[in-house]
Amino acid sequence: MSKIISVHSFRGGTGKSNTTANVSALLAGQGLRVGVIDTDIQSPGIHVLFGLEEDEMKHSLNDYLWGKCNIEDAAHDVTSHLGADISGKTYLIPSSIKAGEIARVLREGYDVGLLNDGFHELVEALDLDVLMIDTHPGLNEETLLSIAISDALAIIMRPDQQDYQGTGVTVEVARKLNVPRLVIVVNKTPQVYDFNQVQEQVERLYSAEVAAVMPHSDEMMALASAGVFAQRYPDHEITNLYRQVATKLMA
Amino acid sequence: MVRSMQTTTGANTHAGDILMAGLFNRLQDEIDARDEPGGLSPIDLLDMPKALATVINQIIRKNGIKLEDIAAELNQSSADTKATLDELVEKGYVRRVEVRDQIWYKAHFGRKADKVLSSSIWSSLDDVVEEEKP
Repeated sequence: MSKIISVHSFRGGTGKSNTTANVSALLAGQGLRVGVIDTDIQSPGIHVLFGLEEDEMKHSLNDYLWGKCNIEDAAHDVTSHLGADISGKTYLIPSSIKAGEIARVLREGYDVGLLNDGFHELVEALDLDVLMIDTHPGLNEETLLSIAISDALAIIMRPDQQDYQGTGVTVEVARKLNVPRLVIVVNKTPQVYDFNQVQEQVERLYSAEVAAVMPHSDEMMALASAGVFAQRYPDHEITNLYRQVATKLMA
Repeated sequence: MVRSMQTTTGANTHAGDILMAGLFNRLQDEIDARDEPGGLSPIDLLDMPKALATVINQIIRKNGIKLEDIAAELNQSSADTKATLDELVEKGYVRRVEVRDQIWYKAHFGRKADKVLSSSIWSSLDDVVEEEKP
């Protein structure tokens, strides 16, 4: 039975796309067929982590929403970009990074029903075990739809007062939309913090499970989105935490 | 209104039948749906009465479901579920779709609102910048 997992954060810059890319790569490393769809139409970026160049993008999510192609035609097999030791598959459905196409979708809107059909068609057409949805930060229509159809939702936050408040809103929305499984990932935590205390505090505040408290990492910063961290540093503490997140999302 | 769809799949009817329905029927269906006013926005799910939200949530998750399946999923009587579905159809949030003589219920989403910026937005911004100059 396939699973749909959304990764969301109320604010930008929390590491949402990095979490999506790493968890999807680790799941593909376990032999699963994983689809990753970038619904951050306004500010797409996850393709960079998978090393997908603009000229390699034959079709994008935008093309599908405008009826120019089937959703599976916009899926790019990026498994080979991840490295040799991937036994499964990773397919990326990018959003267009052409300024004119971003402007067009913002100006003209699109059929939300088509997006819902696209999620389900993708799972069938590519025989996916997991579809991961990288969402736009905050709450908009595609984000709410993604959360509503998800079997599991990871909410990414930093230990920051603004994130605390915004995460509360997202948790409330997810509960209203009856998401069967909800976990929180606390990311970019300063090393000086007591991680156990952060976990306890967040779990108590939202009555939700914390899948991992991830430390701020210089290696991650230095990688600067030039690849998927878990593939570059398979034995790193952060990679182990991503494994933990993957396990909790699939539970 | 019930929409009829011809399918190309085998004997086992499931949600995939709707997805696999012939391309032209599907396109016609989408065109017809676009001509209808309103439709569901995911935002509507947040302030909908719980009974309606629970049913429509199942419909969205399955991307199309039959009355008896949704009643079983929600552990409700078929009569109660049918009443809720009728209300959702009445509100324009759900459509009935006929697949091989069986009625399926599918969410009817409206088009995401266009974001129309006034053509004078740039001159308005220029005015603000001018006003804010010391």
